[in-house]
Amino acid sequence: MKRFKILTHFNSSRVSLCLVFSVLLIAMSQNVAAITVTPAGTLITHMKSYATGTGIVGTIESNTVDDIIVDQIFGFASDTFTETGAILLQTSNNLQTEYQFRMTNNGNTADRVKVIFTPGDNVSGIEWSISLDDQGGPLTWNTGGATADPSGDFAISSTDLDPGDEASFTIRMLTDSANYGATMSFSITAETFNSSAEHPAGQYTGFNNEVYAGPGTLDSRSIVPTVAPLLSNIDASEYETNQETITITGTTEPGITGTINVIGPETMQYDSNLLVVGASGYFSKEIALFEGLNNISISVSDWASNTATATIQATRDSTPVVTAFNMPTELTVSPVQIIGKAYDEQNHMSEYTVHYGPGTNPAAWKEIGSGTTGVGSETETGTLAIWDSSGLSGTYTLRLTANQVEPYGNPAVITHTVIISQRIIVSGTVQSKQWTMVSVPGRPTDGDPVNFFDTTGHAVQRWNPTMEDNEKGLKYEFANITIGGAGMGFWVKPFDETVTEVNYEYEVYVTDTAETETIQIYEGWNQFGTPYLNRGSYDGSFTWGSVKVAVNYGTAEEEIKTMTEARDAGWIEGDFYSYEESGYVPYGLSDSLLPKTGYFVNAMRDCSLVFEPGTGLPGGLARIVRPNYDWKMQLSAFTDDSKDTDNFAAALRTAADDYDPSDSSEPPTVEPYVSLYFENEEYGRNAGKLSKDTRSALSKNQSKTWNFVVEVSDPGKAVTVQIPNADTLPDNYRFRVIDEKTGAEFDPKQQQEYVFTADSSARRFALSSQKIGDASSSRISHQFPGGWSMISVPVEPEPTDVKEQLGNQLSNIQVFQYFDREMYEPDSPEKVDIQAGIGYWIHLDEPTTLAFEGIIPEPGTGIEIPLVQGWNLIGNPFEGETVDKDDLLINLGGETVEATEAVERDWLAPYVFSYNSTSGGYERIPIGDPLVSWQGYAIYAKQTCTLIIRVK
Amino acid sequence: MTLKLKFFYFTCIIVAVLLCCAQLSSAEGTISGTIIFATASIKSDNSIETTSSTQTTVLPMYGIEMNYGWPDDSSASSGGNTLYNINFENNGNATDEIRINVGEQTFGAGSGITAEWAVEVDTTEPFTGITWANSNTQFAHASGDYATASLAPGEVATFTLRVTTSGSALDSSTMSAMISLETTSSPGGSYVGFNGLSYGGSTMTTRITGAGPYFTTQVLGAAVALTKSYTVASPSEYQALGGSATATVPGAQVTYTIQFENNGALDAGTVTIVDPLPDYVDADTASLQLDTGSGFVQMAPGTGDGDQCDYNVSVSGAVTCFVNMPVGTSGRIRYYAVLR
Repeated sequence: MKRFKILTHFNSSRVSLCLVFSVLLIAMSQNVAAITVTPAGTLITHMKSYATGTGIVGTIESNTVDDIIVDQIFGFASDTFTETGAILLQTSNNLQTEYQFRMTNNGNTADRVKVIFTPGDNVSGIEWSISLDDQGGPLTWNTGGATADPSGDFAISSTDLDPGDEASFTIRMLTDSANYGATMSFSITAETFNSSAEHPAGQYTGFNNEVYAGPGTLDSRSIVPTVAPLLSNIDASEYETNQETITITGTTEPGITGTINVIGPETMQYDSNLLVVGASGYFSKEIALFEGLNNISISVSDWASNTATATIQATRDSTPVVTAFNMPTELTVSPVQIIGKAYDEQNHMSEYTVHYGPGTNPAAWKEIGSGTTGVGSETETGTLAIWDSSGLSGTYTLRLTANQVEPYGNPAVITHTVIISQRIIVSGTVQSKQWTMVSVPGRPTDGDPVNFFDTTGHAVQRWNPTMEDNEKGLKYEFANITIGGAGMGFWVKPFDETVTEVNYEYEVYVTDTAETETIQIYEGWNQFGTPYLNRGSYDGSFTWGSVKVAVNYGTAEEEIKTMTEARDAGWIEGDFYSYEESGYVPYGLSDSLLPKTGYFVNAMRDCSLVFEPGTGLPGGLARIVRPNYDWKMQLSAFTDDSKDTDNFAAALRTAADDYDPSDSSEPPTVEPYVSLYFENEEYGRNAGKLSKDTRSALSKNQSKTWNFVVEVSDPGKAVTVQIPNADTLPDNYRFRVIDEKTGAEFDPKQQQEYVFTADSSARRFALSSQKIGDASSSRISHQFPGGWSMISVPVEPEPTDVKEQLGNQLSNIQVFQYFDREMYEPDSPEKVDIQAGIGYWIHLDEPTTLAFEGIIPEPGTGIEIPLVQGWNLIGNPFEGETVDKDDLLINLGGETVEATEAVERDWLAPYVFSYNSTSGGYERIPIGDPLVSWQGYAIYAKQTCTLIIRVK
Repeated sequence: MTLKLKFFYFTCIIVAVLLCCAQLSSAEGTISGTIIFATASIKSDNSIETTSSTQTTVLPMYGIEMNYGWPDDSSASSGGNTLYNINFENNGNATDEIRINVGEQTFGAGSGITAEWAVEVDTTEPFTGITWANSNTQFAHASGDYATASLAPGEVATFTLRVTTSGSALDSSTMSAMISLETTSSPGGSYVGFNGLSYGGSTMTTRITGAGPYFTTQVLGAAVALTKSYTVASPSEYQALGGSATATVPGAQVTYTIQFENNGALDAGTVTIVDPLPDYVDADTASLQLDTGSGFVQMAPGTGDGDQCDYNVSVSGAVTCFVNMPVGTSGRIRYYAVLR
């Protein structure tokens, strides 16, 4: 059998041809459906006619007439070969090209289709073969084969077609060795199969003017397969862009022409670009895009109008996310719904975030909320976030930032300034029959503190450092007290013996949290408190170390220091005191001023406490480094109705032997009292009573003496002197306490209590300390895994700056310290300080051994780690030691308990977490389970407290 | 008084009595129960007047006399009625119960529902009907029945029979029954007295002349008949393809003809002729034609009284024509339809 060679090629033109056929067939089907033809063989039975009338009795019926049986008719619905001119088929070498046609039986009886193949010209002499399928599968040609005889052949459709049914045929032509431009031709004739002379096929018009049956023979026009142009390697420089143009490249037949049409998303957005293909067949064309999704159609055509078309899509988005605030500028309630818009017209928004910051041009921003889903539309607004603005006051700026996913990335930023003014009710309770020191977190609307309390019997007194001393050497005022500003403190003592607690309630103007707030203090003791009840979503607690101190505030001579600097400059002491359960409790730089609590602080000159409302919050400025004590001994005194628990003698490597910022004064007494203080008359300007006497660390074999005094307001009572933390004292020191009145002496490590009966005079004691051995400096190393790890370092490095420690070991130091809800990195102004007992995040590109040099803490040394409310990172400070349940202590409010008990008291969460570098997940460890060296742990403190780690 | 005179008196009384009887009725005679006294007295001039008396009671006798003869047979329309008046006289000399008998009713072909036929009787106007003895209703029992009327001697009365035809009875259908009158007392009969007069009458009388004893009531109406036929013609284009001229192919034309006639005794009035079309066949509503002897003419559409025709009006899917059919009418309705 002769085979003709035709190069066939599949491309989208053939799809278009099929689409045309489908449309035609749908239209044909609709025509067929319009005529209801009585099926052949239908028996039509006539009914009798009948007559009725008033002149007729009953109904008169006619005779019966014969039935009619409907005859057969044959024909096709219409001509399926509707192309004008030759039917061009695009072919491709070694690929089957299909030509589909369909026949609908428009007779009134079942029929089949006879398909006759008639060959035409074969200009290029290509080899080809033709097979025929209908819906029943491949048909066998009359000559007996699966392919038609090249000289002509016919085949019969496989199944009967009921009236209105359609037979679909596919001519499959396989070509071989055909090149672009080759051509041949053939034609197809379809005939009805069951028609006869008695029942002829053909279209006719009935007496009802309906057209019945249809042609019994249909001839296709000449079907001309030609090898169509190739269109390949279509690509775009960008499919998603924010640029105006992209470049389309591809390959097709040399020398032909085409177009690149761009259809934008909006009506009438159409652009046509002429495409000229060079001799190589390669083309590159820059086209302009419409904003949005563009449908790009690349089309080339040849001499026979064979076309090759490829379509791609490209999206242009150069429009930033639509952002808007739609809300008032004056806010008086909380929470505030942040109303506005944040949506992308093409849904490319990646995220929006709403921040707020103090003032009209904030230096720092805090996040209110964020989202990844669009809010609002062209005509509507929505809720972007809910802002808990309680406790805020003053001018704030809202900032809405939004961005798009890559590669669009058009940022959008808008701001909106609001003014918040609020008044709130401050309420609380104080113990009856005892003194409580309170402070006012706002400017009261009524400044008389007497009116704060709803009981008739209570005393109010306030320490006025500007007064002359009274007969007891104190500076209390008892009448005409006016609380005229936020942060003022005073004493109150209800007398009502019928209750244990007395409620109070008063209204204050919320302190402006957008601007700096100051509290004027004077040389000597001052009663004060935090001026804030809360600051936005945070409470009004204010870490003492983050309070600044100013002299000549608001004047040209104004000078401001951090609390540490002010302490070091001798402006103010670093410790402050609350009064709890009839005794003073000292706090340090890492401790917080709690709202509504009154405190004593001792200033060495007139100055102002400066509260910057953003300070201490995430994004704030201060970070506290744990002091590095050689030892720190707590001394407490008790009577039956009073106590003075938090007095310390300590050796600190960075401290001076005379008065320095690490020392603290004993706060003024309030009766009844027992007072234990260190007497240091030689301290010059700050000579007097100290609650904390810190001196420099001792050298080996050196001894130092701390003189302390115990006084009571009511002589005759039994007084107990305790050393509660004696077991934390290091082994390389020896201690001795001597009662100078009786000569009795004891070793605090061996005897933690000493009892005597007080008389009207002060009882003096001498505490001596002698260093009997050195804690040597060492260099230790440890291999850390690659990737992220949570670590600790069991050494007190010197220096502490991680960059100095590891600068010559790592080119890129990625060590991060998390403290007080803020992450610090090595290049931050606060730096990252390595200390034993503190946890850190570290990222290493590969497993790395790092060495740290410093003093190895003695296991018996108590390592104190300040814990802020929330998450804290800690570690085992002792190399080669395991920290067990008994080795973890928590100190809160002067009371020290084991960590497990702290959990029971709800000071701590019951678990710590370590990070598994291998699995990338956290592992939960009950508090009390062993903590190993070099591993970091996350611990959650429910209250600000101090963690003490020491291994017995 | 002389004997002559007395005899004269006697004679006068006899004559008076006879004259008196002759004046009542020559046919009825003396009323039954009448007592006739005969007294004779003789007195001569010299004798005492002697008087002698006798009495005689007149006995009853009965008979009927038909005053105007029997009525003829009658006719009525279907569901209509006709009256038969029977006049008679009690020709006896005593009151009698005169009975009218109606025999078993027999029906001819097309008489419809026989139970709808009715025979009633009355003796007074207006006609209200009296109760028949057997049916105990005012309608005579179909198997035979009778009714009575009390009549004084010499009294004349009329039995009026009302025959109602069945509403379903066709033209020319009949119902027949024998009717008779009868005395109920005796002795009855007719006799001629010594005076040459005829007394009494018949005790049973029927119509024996003319149509005989059976009275037949005939129904008069219209008699309409329909005859339907059709022919098929294939489309010319189909024939051009080689198909048969009478092939029943879709699109072929079917010509329907309905022949009608009224051979009854009455006009049929406007007759509604309905020709339902079968499935697959659609009527050509413009082709409705009527031929009443002068060739086919187009019929106007409508549902009125005249000769009108339309499709799918009174009856869905049918051709309906309204044709006036007097007695003796015949004609044709023709229309075309197309096989779908």
